[in-house]
Amino acid sequence: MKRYAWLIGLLAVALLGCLPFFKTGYIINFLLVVFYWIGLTGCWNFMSGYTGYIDFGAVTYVGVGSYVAGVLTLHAGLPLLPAVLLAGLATLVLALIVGWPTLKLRGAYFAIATFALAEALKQVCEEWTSMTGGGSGLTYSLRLDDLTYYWIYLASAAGVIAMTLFTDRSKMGYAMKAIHQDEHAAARVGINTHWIKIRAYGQSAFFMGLLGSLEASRLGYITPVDVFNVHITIKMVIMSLLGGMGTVLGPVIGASFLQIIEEVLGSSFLNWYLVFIGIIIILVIMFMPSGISGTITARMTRLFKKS
Amino acid sequence: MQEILKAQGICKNFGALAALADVSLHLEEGEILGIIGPNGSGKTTLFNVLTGILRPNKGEILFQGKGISRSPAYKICRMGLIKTAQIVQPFAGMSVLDNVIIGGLYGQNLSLSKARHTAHEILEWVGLSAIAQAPAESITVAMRRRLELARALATGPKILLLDENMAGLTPMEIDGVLKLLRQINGRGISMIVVEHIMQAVMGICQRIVVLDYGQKIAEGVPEEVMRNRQVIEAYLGEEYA
Repeated sequence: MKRYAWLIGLLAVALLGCLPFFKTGYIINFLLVVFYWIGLTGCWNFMSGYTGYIDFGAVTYVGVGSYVAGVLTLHAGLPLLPAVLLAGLATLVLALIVGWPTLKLRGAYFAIATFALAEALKQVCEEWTSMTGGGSGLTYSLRLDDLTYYWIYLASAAGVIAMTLFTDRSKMGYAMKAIHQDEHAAARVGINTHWIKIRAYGQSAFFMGLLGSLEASRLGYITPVDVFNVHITIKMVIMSLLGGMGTVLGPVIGASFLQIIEEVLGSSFLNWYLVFIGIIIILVIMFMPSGISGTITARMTRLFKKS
Repeated sequence: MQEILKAQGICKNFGALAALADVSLHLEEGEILGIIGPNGSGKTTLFNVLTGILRPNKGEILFQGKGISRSPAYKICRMGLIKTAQIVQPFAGMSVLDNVIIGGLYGQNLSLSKARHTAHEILEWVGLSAIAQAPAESITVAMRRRLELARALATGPKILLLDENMAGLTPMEIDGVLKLLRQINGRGISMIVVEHIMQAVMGICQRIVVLDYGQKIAEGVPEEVMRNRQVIEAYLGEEYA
């Protein structure tokens, strides 16, 4: 089963890629959003799911990506895709700078520090009116067409999951898991834990910056409150938790599951959907603590053992 | 013979408590040095200082002539100095084999395939091949000790520090470990062994250092040290000296 993971994944992506030729409208728009969240959650999971260092300020990179690309297209007249790439680079550099001191802190302090950073940058964007438009927001002048976003998000989601799969089985994957289990022991056996954490953090931030800036261009109008919203981080965390932290498919399952529920509940229970989501999450965490992915893996292992 | 490790004037304080006070020792290449002393005498602290887990307040440590007292733990491991923990905790959520693979991956900077190959060899050597795929958290304490040793060996050490690796083992199990340690030493790995079990200490150590309340109170060949008045006092009290 594991050996065919790449093949199955490629097949799934190919099938989904062909879908727009058969269906249009609602389903395409819905899937587009699902792919976006698979990508974002995959990034969060890559760092926090694997190393155990919970990033509560992940939205920082969505926000910074959104604003950097926005400013570059608006004020510097860059075309969209180069601006998006530069936004990704900016978030990568920021993550390396931020990560270097904060990843020397123990887990809980890292979570607090990153959360504080997101809030601080939100304020910066609110105040720096000349650059960012402040509270009135920033309007993107450039955009791709809807179908292109579908394919870009599909490719991004696939890319992030592929990166996770590759890393999970690599030397770095071993290091991240060891750090998660017992950081002191990991250092004792020769792992430069500081560098591994920074690298994971940087990789995660880069793709968040890319995705954030793309989404900002798709929505067309961003404000600091929108793109530095803690709810974005919370969604990433919950989707990861639901799907299974530190697993390859966790983000796929968690993001799909939660987005479907949000869609289904959102339209019929407008005021109550948050409550229902909360209940569902509590139930899943109580009865499936290693997430959906973890529970399925455990069941399958038991099945194979019996046969 | 070459001196491979030298600790000079090591002092380590935890607040007002002097866990180590002016401890000096050296290890010759290929030697097996024993460190004994009552509980709380600073043996584990000394190991933590030597391997970079703790920084000494005073003193210098020379590994093959190079000063390492300010080096981080992971660098010291890569240089070839590693210890096994007293409270053995393998990486959970991974197999026994994976635990040993990690040692090779980063301790010796091997590729994944080479590390896997080395891990299989080492597991064969320490007698854990049968449980290579078992989840590391599911094995017995005696096996965990061997796994800890295997993981340390995978890092390709020149010096191996063993912190009470034999506690709680039966005499037969102890003999098995001693045999293994002699084989490890036979491959050119120098060792420092901290033990309470006299059978082990007398059996393989060429020299012994005795610690008491963070100070070195005796040093010499096992027979000498055992007859040392201060040593007997430290362990058994004044009336037996």
